[in-house]
Amino acid sequence: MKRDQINIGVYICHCGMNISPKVDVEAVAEFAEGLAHVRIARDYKFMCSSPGQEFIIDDIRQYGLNRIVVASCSPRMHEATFRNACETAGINRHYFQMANIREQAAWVTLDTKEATAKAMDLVAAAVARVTYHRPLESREVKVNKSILVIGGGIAGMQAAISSGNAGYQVYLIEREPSIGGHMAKFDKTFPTLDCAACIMTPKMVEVGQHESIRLFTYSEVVSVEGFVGNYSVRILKKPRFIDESKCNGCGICMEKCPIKKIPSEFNENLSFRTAIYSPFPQAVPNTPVIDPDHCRILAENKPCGACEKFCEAGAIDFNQQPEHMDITVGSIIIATGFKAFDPEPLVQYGYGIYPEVYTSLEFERLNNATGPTGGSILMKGGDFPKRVAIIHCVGSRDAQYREYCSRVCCMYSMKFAHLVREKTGAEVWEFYIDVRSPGKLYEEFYNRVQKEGVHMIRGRVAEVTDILDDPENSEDKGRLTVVAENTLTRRMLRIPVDMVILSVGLEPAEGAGDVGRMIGVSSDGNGWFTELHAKLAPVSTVIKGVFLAGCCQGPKDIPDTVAQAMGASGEAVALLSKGTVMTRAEISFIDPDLCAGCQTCVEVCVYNAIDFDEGRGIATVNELLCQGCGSCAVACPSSAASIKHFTNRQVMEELEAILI
Amino acid sequence: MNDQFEPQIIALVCNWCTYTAADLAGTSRLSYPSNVRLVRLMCTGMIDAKYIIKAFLDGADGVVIGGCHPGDCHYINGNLKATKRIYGVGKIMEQFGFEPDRLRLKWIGASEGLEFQKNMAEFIETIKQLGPSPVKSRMIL
Amino acid sequence: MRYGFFPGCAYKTAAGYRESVEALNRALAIQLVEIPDWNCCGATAVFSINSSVALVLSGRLLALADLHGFDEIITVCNACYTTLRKAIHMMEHHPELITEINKHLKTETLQLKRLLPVRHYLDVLANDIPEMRWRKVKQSKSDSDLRVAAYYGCQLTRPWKDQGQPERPDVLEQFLERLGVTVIEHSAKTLCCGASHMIPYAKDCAPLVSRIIREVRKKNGNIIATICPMCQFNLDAGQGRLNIPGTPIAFFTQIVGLALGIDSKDLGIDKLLVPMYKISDNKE
Repeated sequence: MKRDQINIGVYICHCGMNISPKVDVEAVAEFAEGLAHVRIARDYKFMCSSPGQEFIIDDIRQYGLNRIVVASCSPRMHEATFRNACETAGINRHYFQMANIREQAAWVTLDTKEATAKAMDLVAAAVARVTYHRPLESREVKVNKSILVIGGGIAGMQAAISSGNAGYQVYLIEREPSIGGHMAKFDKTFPTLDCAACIMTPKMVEVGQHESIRLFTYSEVVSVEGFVGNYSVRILKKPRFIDESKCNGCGICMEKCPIKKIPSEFNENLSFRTAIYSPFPQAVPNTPVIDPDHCRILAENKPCGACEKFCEAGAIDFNQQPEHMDITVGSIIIATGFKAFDPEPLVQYGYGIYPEVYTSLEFERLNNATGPTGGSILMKGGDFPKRVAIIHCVGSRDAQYREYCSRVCCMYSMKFAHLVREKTGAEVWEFYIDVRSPGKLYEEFYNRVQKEGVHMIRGRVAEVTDILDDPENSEDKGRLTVVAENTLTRRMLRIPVDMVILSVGLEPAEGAGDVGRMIGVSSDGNGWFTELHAKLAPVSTVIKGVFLAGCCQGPKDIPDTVAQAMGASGEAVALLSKGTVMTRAEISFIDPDLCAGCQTCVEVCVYNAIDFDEGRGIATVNELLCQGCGSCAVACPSSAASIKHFTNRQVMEELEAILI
Repeated sequence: MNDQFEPQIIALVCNWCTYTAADLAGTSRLSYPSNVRLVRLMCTGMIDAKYIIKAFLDGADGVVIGGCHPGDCHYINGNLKATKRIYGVGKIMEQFGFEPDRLRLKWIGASEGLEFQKNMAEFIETIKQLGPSPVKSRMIL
Repeated sequence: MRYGFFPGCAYKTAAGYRESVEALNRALAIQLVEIPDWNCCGATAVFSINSSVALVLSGRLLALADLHGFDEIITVCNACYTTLRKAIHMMEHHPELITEINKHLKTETLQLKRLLPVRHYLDVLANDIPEMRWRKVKQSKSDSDLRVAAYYGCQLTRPWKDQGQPERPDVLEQFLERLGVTVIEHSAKTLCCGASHMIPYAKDCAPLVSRIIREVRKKNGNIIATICPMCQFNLDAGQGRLNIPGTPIAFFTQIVGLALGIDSKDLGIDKLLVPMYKISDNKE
């Protein structure tokens, strides 16, 4: 660098009466004039005002200044203002440094002399630093104005609808044959007891018919590459063995299929489906799929073809193959949802041992008008239960399984209690650790359920057993006994019941981890996706352009899920609406001549912004992903990595000028 | 002599939390001794051990590093990376005869102007107790 | 196979436990060598009153076993098992306790240097004996009409989880089935037998015993296999107060002995209070 060409202009601001009486601004200007490379130093009443800025611009032009230092307020206040002035005058906006003599000297120092001395130090530091500033540029990159939504539950559906309504092309990917997710399985929703299907099906239809939403059901994302604005996504479309363009959804194929005894996944295995099936009547799309593991032709290569014979549309196609589709999107919304905790390891609750022990999802189906019993709460033998126990926190708040509270179980348990009371009049015993009902109308619902005569017992259930205390009592014949301590009365309880519902907690969906790895979004110890900031960026992720909606980020109820989905959509739309994204200027740079290819930087980068170039054996920075945190620069053992505008030289010069 | 000793303190602070706290101390007119000079960095995670050593070699009597509270880092976990590094630097300094108290790491959040003021005043007091940095006497040679 | 053996206080007086364990040792060439000068494990009682004393009791045993060159300690009692297991767990997580224990052991010139693993005799039989040896020993196909209910009691499986499923274990069933014994599934496997409360609160403990026996009979079992002297005693002697048909309570080692074709006299079966012939009595 040719030092003799550096011409620095230093401007000391009075900030009205804020800086000047405390700091002797004339003295500081005089001091600055004596510093190396300083061509001119002045003081002025308000540097940030238009005449103040004009002052700088004129000086740059008149004296050929190529570095500017303004000693005034915090750079958080006016750095951008003065950088713009530099740019207006024709020098790079990074040839500028600010000395914060207001917040750090004038306002916090009691003694005038001391304040002036400190201001001089800060000006000297800024002058030393700006000497080594380099011109930096940001680049504008065009974005693809489309959005990928992964997961077609209520979160993904809402995110797709909101984004589609904003006019963006949306690709919604769902791995099941229909969209709808868990909510489609519910009967009522707490605390208002809205019928889930009544509020859900219109949304499903809206997704199916939306002109901006392209729906891929029975499909999975297999790879994601690229960066904000330009993600290349590969989708695997599993064969339905039915031509979607021909099928009219009449359903005759399902009627005629001879394989009828396959446990229905949608009904939680409480009823059967055929080999060609649609998971539920309101499925979107209303095109069935053939289950290749059970179809006589596909699984056993035996003659059948009943569906083919009766399909008037000629939609059956046994030769359909998996298909790959490639799309490009600007932003991704992950909405992979949850799976219900499997209570089988908790053998003390007898799930899988006693037929009348149900998980909450099973009970949802049992209680659902489209479920196996048509909505009657019946035991396996066909009778109504007379006494029902509901056990909270199964798998949740348990150091042996999931330590966290699953947030929805208390409320849905109380919904169950209400429905059991309403539909069967049975006695209901709820066993809880603490009742958690924070939410609009939630506590009121809790009170209502208590008034309806539900027994609320504070105590974790020890076991569910078929051992009865009084086997001679004919009323208890065939019942299960729930053993628990009522911790409020400190009494052991042994309650004979007909039916037990395990309020199982929520876990990340199967395969969520794979999606995370594909995209580069990290998860917490439990597998929930990590948001960028717990409070201030709850839908963003460390990967720019990738957002989270719904339970994939943590257990949530429906209102929170919908709100987050709308938030994620809003963020995605905000990002894409401008059409371009700017790259940052103050980011990492890896000197290819110094890089030894050790990949330490690749490891420390939390943004996956550093790639290893196998061909050249060096690390390279993705300028769209890099946030400029500097982790790589510090970690680099060969000093190849540095952060532009925060180079070692710049910082060291600043330090030296202060101290020596 | 020590009565008049006014230490030179360098504060290496992150842009998002502690620098902002210092601004807040300013706007709230919370005065503190003028010995401390702030150097703004984007994150404590970008503080190279070299900066700390350089500051001491150039005559700083104390170096305080200020960043976001754990979990609040603007860059996810830069502050945690800094914790480990600064612990290491402290250990090295000790071996060269520096009092470990001359190097301090503090989490001061953006809203903690008062904390900033208190911490700076307290740190300066600590350094005054310790006296001039051992580098200084050697530099006279 | 040579093991350091910690018999505990109830082993030698229990109804046929010693006889049957020794018979099996002879048949299967297992060397259980009694740890010289062993002491009381303290059971649950000492731990609940003064855990540092309890730790010294366990620590002394471990030090003795190590001193005499054993690599493992074998117990035949659930209480011994869980007490030692608990002590080791605490020492592993708080190594400073070992220093404390050693201060006390010093008076005997003993020193606790390492924490030996503690195992139950059931574990040894189920996992250490090669299949070949079982086959060689097993004389004939047992023609018994025993339908065995395995009963674990409270202290073997919980909270350790190292004997399979802690709440509804099945290691004993699996082991017995390997030997051709008919076992039944039931829900009383880990219920409380009353333990030491049986002496002061016999009346309150009666329903506990009754619950277990009834459950076994309901699920069509005709004999209970226990793995703990206390359980055996409570269930066997406790039936005297109950107005239900007697169900024999045997040690699992006795059942194993019968399955191998060992003479019942050598297994001490005649010492059971509810006699074995009751099974055929109740058959009708």
